[in-house]
Amino acid sequence: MTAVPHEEEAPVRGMWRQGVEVFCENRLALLGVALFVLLTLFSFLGPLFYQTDQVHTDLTKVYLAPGTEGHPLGTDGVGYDQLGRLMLGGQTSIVVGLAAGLLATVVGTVWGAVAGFAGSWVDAVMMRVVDAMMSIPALFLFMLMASIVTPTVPMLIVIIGAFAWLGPARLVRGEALSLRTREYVLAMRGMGGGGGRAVRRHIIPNAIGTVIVNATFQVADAILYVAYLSFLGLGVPPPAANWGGMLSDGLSDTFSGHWWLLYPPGIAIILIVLAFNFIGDGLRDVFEVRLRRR
Amino acid sequence: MGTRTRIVCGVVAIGLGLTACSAGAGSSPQQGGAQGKDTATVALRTPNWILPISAPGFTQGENEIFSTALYRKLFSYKLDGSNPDNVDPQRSLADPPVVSDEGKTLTITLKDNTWSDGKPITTKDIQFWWDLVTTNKDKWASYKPGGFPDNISAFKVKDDKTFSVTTTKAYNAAWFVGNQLNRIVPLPQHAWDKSGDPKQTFEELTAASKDPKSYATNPLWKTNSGPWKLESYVPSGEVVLAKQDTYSGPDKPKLNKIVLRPFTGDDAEFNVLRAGQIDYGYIPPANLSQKSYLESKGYTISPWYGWSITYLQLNFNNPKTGTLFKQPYLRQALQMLIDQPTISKVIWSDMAAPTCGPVPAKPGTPGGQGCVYPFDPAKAQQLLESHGWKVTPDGQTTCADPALCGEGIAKDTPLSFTVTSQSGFSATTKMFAEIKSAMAKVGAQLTIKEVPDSVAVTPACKPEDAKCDWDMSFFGSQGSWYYPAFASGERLFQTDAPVNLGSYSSPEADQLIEKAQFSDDAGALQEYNDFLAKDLPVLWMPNPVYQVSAYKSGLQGVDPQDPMNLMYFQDWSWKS
Amino acid sequence: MTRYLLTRLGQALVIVILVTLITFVILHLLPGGAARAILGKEATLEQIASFNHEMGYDRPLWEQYALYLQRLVRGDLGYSFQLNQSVAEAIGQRLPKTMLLSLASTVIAVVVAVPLGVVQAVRRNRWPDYTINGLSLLAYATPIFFMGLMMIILFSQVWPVLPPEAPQGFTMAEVLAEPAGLVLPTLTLAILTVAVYSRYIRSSMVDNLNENYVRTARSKGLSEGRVIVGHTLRNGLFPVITLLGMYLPALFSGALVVERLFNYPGMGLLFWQAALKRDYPILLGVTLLISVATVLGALVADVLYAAVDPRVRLKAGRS
Repeated sequence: MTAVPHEEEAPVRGMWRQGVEVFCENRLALLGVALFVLLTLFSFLGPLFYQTDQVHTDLTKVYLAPGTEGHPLGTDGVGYDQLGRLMLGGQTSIVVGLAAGLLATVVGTVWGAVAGFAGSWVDAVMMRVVDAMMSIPALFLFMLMASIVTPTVPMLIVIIGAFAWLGPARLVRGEALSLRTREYVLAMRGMGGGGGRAVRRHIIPNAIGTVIVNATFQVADAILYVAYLSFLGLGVPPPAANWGGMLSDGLSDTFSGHWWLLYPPGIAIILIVLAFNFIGDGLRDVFEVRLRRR
Repeated sequence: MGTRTRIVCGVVAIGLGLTACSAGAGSSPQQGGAQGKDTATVALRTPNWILPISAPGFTQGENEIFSTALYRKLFSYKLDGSNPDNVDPQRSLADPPVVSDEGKTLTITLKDNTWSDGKPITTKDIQFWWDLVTTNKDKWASYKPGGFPDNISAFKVKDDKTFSVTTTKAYNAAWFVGNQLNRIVPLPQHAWDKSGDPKQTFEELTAASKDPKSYATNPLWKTNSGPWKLESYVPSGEVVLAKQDTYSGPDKPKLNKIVLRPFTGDDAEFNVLRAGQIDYGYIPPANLSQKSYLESKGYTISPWYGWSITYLQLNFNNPKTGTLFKQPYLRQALQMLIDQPTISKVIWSDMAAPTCGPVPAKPGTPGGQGCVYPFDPAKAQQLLESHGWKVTPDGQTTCADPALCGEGIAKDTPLSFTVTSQSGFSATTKMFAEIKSAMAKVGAQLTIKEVPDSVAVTPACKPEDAKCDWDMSFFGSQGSWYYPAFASGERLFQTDAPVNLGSYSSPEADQLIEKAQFSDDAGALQEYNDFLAKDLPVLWMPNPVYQVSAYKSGLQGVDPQDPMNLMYFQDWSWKS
Repeated sequence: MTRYLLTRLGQALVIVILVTLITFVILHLLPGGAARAILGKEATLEQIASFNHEMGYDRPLWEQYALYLQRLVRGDLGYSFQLNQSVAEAIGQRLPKTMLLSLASTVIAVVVAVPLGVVQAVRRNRWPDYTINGLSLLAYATPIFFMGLMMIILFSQVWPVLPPEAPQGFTMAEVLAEPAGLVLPTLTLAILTVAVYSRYIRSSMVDNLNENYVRTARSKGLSEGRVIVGHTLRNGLFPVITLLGMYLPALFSGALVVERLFNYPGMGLLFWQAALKRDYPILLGVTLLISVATVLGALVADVLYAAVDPRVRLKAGRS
């Protein structure tokens, strides 16, 4: 008994190292990690070094141009320091992105795994539900939801998570379908292992590659969805800030020449979404190589 | 640019106040510039109700403008104080009413006017209107139980030109003329009354009005009393009004055509305005900084002041926070945390003015000097502390001494509220960011919740109702309430009044409201205003203008714009 | 093939019915209700009750749903109180405009994305691949309204050659009479689509270039150009048909944002305005129609794909 884990551990560690190697070969993926780390540090550690008042408005200092004393990026329409606001907004964007992506992935994985493993009519019913929801364009669904519940940060996570799980569900179900016919799962069933156990122990771990890659893209999409919802007028009310909301607020300043309210959040969103896409691509390389060598 | 739709709240001069709003939809071809000198192109949402008896849900401002262009009302009003009871003697179809019978009977004599087909406008047409609304009052948007026509004991036609109404009790004539008689619209009895049965006729008319496609072609709508006739109508699209050659009123149209062009939203309208392609439009609040650019393009910018007030509704019936709002000192403290002058100036770019009490300041005059509780955070803090609150700036202020806090307020009750506000108006969003910040400074926590239709989700309620959990509601991004000519409070602040959404109740206020409505004491309205300004049935907020109009400088007769939000296109002309 | 077709048709029908159910349930979770939103704050209880009665909102949910389905079968999408217009009419005015926008941008996207994807696949892991990949990711990462605004700034402010607004024309003829106004919205939507398509085409081509038949062709001494065009392209592009179907929901989502930004009076704008006004009948109608379009699109794509590639229908028949 004691020898078995040993034997398994070695290849696992090897695979890890190999994975890291493959990932590092992809320079864009490295860039993505760097971007992600930088933006996260900026948002979460930045406020420790660059302290601004993001609680109290100051109507005597609205729309100050960048470079005005004490405001390297200027101020917005109620006098918040724009640089400090970017940090605050980054926190929300990153947290919402990660949380919604995670939620969608978890729900989707469970749904897909259950459907794929159960098969027959259970599968048919569950997947038709997925098909139906998928045929309603995501933004339409989000708008419907967001006009029902008041968007707050946790609510946004739930709304996006509640509808973004469809993609992962399909993917995982596909994996599960192909996996459930594999020998070891059949063997487990033969030995009297329950269905739930099979899902938990085998199908999910095996689909993990697909799921992780997809989750990365989910995070990127969630950040974009928040921006779209803000643009459509269903964002998070003040004083909560997020890059998407800041960007869409900045749109109305286009003709007024307040460029510092538009471009910084816009660039920040692009960078964070790019970062997750780069990372996702890198991870896909890793898992594809693993599959090929298996 | 922003995400805001043009939500021109339905304002009805006939005393309806606001209704929910609809964004302008539809489209039209761009035709470029002033189309010659006898046409004006106006940015206005497509009206979608033609029958001058408004139906619930169709009381938006553009419908009112549309129907008055085609069908004159019995009385027109002018708020400049030059005429008794604000009746506009020129435009009205009748002479001002003569009051007799201790104020109970008003006798009205029609002037000589004709329908567009040449037939005279007589009391038959008034009687016809009267029969239609009295037999179908539940389908009439302006009807409220107990109000017009329930408060009329007799409607008598004396001859072709004279009729009288007798009220159940004596009203303040100014009130009755301004807020009840404003609903009367003579209707072409000879053209519409085919069956003689008002129920059936009403049904036919409603059905025709529900078919916008046929507005320009249905012969029903060809007999008009107004200065304009409908030339073409595209549902959700462009509407063209043409000069009515047989118009009998004194204010003959000077232009030949008015083109009403709808836009899909503020941004669309503003882009076209910037390009100089419409003669009369508006600057969306988000683009006010563009004022000078438009002026350089040959537009005159003119704020359209409304006969309105703006306020933050407090829910006195909320089982949790209602007990707090019932404490006058607490309302005063909250009011002192709203910096109306600065918010008006900075956030609304001077296109709003402080509201100090329930009676609007004279349109266009800067209000705010005389507010009873001006912005004063230090005093607010003092007030709270002297009433037993432990003030924790930027923390959570709680009640430390229940004996002082007031009845029903337990120890450690937090000073914390949620405001249901309107989404889609960036100035409103900024305004609440400012108020939240000011409140935080005395430890009062304000949570902002934005919904597209805050009015709809914050109804008047009883404490035991499930939907009674809202604390504060704001729906005044374009003014909370537009008054008819006489700005009394029986619909807003009287106990159980229809639009008393926060269930404010004060015997003294009730008495003063009654007085303004029923006594002919000229000072009653002022007395009522002074009391409510102090008693704070709501928190007074900066009152935004109805819209910031922009029109080609060559267009004359646009100003002054009617504070009750009608548009008299017949006065417009091009400078030659 | 017939059996496959029938199965797919059956599935599509089930999906559409589920869609009606889902949207119906979601919409009736709305707080406040439509009556107050439409009738305004002054509405009396009687008026609200009579409105709810007229619209059927006072019946039990299941009954409303049954009635809704019943009307649908008769082709009646309902009546929008807000617009004083039937839903079918309102949609009829706007649907062609959205179709035009979506179709034009899809055509542009395919025309651009195919060569890009092919170049990427052929030159994979070299600079053309990296450049195109980087650019398309950049396009994908840019919120579409931000990109649209950049286009407006560039092409109608800095270098004013195009109008910043879509044609506002009422009829299709009026819209088509102003083609300049369609350029920016179409391009904005197309750029995003290109970003998605080119990546997909690249991976599909890469897979095919690794297939045995390509190696055989190469070993037979065929020129690289002929290998790519003659063999790989054909097989590599089959999946694009599926992609067209799969991408429809995202395309409509994009159209919603683009229509809002450029004030193009299509379905997206109609939906957006209805959402702010709680215009249930319009919301239901638009969602339903868009979903039906999506389902139909996917169905057509699948059937086409099955027609050109027999492997698919065998596989589908089995599962």
